[in-house]
Amino acid sequence: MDTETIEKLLALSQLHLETTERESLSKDLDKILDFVDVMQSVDTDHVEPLSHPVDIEQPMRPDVADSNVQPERFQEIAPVVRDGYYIVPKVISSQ
Amino acid sequence: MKPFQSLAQIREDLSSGKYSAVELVQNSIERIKRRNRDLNCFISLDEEQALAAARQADQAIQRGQGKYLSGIPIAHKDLFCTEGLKTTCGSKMLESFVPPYDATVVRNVRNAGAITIGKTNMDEFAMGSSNETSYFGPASNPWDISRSPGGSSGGAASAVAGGLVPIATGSDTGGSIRQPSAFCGTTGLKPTYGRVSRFGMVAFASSLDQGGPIAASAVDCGLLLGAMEGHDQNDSTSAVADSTDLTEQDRKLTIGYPTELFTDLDKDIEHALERARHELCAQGHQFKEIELPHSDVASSAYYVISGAEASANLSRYDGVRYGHRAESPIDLNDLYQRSRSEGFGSEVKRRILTGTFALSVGYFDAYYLKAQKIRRLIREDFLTAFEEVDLIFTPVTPTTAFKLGSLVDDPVEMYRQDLFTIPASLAGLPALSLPCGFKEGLPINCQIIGKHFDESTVLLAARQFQRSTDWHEQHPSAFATDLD
Repeated sequence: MDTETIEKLLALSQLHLETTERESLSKDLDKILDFVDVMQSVDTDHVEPLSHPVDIEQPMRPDVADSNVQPERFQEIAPVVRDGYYIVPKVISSQ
Repeated sequence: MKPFQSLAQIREDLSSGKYSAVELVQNSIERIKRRNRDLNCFISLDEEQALAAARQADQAIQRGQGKYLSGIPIAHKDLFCTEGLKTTCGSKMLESFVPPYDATVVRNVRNAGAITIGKTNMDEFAMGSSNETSYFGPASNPWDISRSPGGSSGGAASAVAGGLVPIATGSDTGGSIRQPSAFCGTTGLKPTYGRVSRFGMVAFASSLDQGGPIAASAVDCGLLLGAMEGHDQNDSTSAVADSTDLTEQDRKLTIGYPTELFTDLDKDIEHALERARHELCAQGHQFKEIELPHSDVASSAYYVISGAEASANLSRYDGVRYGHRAESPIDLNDLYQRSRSEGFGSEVKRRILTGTFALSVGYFDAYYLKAQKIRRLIREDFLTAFEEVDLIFTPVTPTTAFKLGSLVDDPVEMYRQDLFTIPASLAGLPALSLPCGFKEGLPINCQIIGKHFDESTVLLAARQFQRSTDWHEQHPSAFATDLD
C-alpha cells in the first residue's frame, strides 16, 4: 500500500501515526490485503450481497414519547461540558 | 467451599443453608484477589455492591423467594455496560468510562438473581484472539499461565476455568466465546444472532456481535442463556423468538460432518474429535458427510466485513462526549486525531484502517460488496446442509493454547486462529464449544453448530455428551483446591 493511500485512509479515519508506527502498519496492511484477496477467487456473479444473517421481522414498539432521556447523566461523564453543552475547540475562525 | 461446583449444586447448598450467598461471594472475591496476580483475568471488582446484593439474596432465599440464579456470582466481560462500574472494553479509550446505564444482559441476569462480582479482561474492543491486545495486559490461561487464554473473551474463560466464578458472560463476533472456551476447557455458547440483546454492549461489528454464556458445562450455559436471552425493545435486531428449551428429552439426531474442515488438522486434535464422534454415535446419533464449500474464504470475508463495521462503529470515539480526550487540542481535527490515536491500540487501528479501505471509493465493490456476497454463499452452504442434518460437528481451533507472545507480531497468523469459528458467525448460527480431550495437559474442544434459533438442540446434544464424558469436569490442578 503506497504512502498516498495510507495518508488518505488515516485522514478518513481521523487517525495520526508516528513514522515508525506508520511503516510497520503499512506492512501489516499489505499482508492483510493479501490475506483477504483470497476472496477474489470466488465467482460471485449473480449473488446478492448479504448484510444481515438472520431472517427476522422487525418488531415495532408503540410510537409513544417517553421521558427516560436524561442528558445531564450522560454529560456527567463527558470530558468537558459547560452549561449543558459539550465543549470543542473553536470551529469557526474570526476572520 | 470447593470451587468448580455446578449451578445445581450451588443452588441446593444455598437453599439448604450449607453456606450463604454472602459466604459464596466472599469466597469468590478472595479467590479472585489471590489468583488475579497470575491470571489477570479481572479488570475491576465490585466488592461492596456484590456483598450488598449477596445479603439481599440471602434474605430472599430464606423467605423462599429466591430466583433461579439467586446468590450466584457472575463476571461480566468488560464490554457490557454496568451502571456506576467502570466499563473499559480493554482500551485506554474507555479507561475511565463509567456508564450511566446497564446493558440489557446485565439487567436480565441481575433480575434472575445473579450477583455481579466484577468485569473481565478482554482484547481491546474485542479485536483479537489471544487477549494480548488488552490495554490492561493479557490474561493468562489457568492450565499454563505462560499461555494465552484465547480471546477476545479470554478473561471470562480464564476466570471460569480457574474456578474464580461459576459463570461468566462473553461476546462472540468471529469466535470470541468459542476459541477462549477451547483454550481454557470451558463450555461456551455463541447464540443465534438476535437471540441476546446487544443494548449496552460496546459495539465492534454490529451484524456479527452476540453476547453469550461461558460456564463449566452445557447445563450451566443453558441456565445462563435462559437469563440473558429475550427480545429487547432497545435493540431492534433482537429477535422475538421462543425461549431456549432446556428440558428437551433425548432424541437421536443426524449430525453433519464437513470433511474439508478435518484435513490437515493437528493429529492430537483430530484424534480427540474422532473420539468425540464415536461417543456421539454411541449415544445413538448418526453422522452424515456434508459440504461447506466456501469455508476456506470465510475468514477473508469476515475480516473485511467486521473491519468495515468496526470502522463505522468506532467513529463515535471523538474525545467529545465520553472516553479519552487529548490535552489542549489546537483545533477540532487535532482533537479527533490525537484523542483517537492516543486512545486506540495498534490492532484497533489496523482494523479501522482495513475497514476504511474496504469502504472507500474505488475499493467498495471489490472488497466490501464481494465479502457480503461471499457471506450469502456461506449462509446458503449451511442452510443447504441443514436440510439433511440437525447439527454440524467441527473443530474449534487449529491448535491448543499457544504461548503468550508467540503470534502477537503477526496479525494474519492470529486471524487464521478463527478459521473454524468464523463460518457460523457469518451465517448468524448458534454454535457451542465444549471440551473433548487434552494434548500435553492443554484442553481440546469440539464445536456443535445448530440451525437458527435452535439452541435447544445444540444444548441437548452437548448435555447428552457431557453426561457420558468427564472432559468438562477436569480442572487445572493448581487451581482445584485452594481456599476450601
